[in-house]
Amino acid sequence: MHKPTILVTIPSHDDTTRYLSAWSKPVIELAQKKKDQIVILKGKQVNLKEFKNATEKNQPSFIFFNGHGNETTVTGQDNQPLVDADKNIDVLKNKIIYALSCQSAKKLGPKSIKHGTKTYIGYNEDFIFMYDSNKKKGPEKDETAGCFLKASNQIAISLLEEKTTGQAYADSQNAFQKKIRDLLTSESKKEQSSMIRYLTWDMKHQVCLGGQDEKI
Amino acid sequence: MTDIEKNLIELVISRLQTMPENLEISIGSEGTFKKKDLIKHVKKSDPIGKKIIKVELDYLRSLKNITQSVLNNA
Repeated sequence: MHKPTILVTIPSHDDTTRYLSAWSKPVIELAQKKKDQIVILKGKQVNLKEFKNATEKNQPSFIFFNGHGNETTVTGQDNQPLVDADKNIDVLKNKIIYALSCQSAKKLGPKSIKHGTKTYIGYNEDFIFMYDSNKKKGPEKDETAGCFLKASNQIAISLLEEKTTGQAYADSQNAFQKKIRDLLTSESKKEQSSMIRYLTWDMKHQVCLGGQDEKI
Repeated sequence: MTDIEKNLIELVISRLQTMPENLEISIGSEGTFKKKDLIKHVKKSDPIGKKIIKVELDYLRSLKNITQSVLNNA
């Protein structure tokens, strides 16, 4: 039976990347449980040299980027560029990409599709999330951040569950919608209701470019 | 600054005032922000402030669709 190879990048150098790193664990655990081949670059390993080596050596069918980004770049540890639309976009060729980073689906994503990326899922604006500053030492227990990161990571979960890229996108959109509905219709606390506008923003700016029927 | 822009800033600040003190917002590589920082940025109407205003406007424009979705799934 075909077992996909997955590459996950998890830099960890500021509050945002520490939260993304903590909440990527359920995705990694699911991949390990399914015995998929998983290559993890974490912390200082998330640099251009290691990323290039990992992609060439392992030929992953799915890359899950966690970290910062902008319209043309996805970055690693200390914001070092890993993929740049004008320099090494071919590294994404024939792959399915999920970039949990800001804005990269604005220019990098569409350009990568033209260069042979199967599907690029990401955000065409900043990915915004709220977190509880009292829980910074245990970000995986911060349910405020979890509202955002569980919905966004549904993309990777659904892909690992052998769903198509289009279905994974729909699942994540539904997870955002469900959270927004729950917050609007329940007697939510003040902190929860202030999250709705940012959940709506992330949901609206999450896009799935390229093939909708691809599987990892 | 027009009256509409001034009113919009007032509206966004009023909304931010309801945000609990313990919460912070991560806006990608722009950094993380506490409530009081966000209010300062909105008052100055600098790029971060404009981003927060854009999020609020986007949300208000989406309310009709969100409400419809809630009703459809009730």
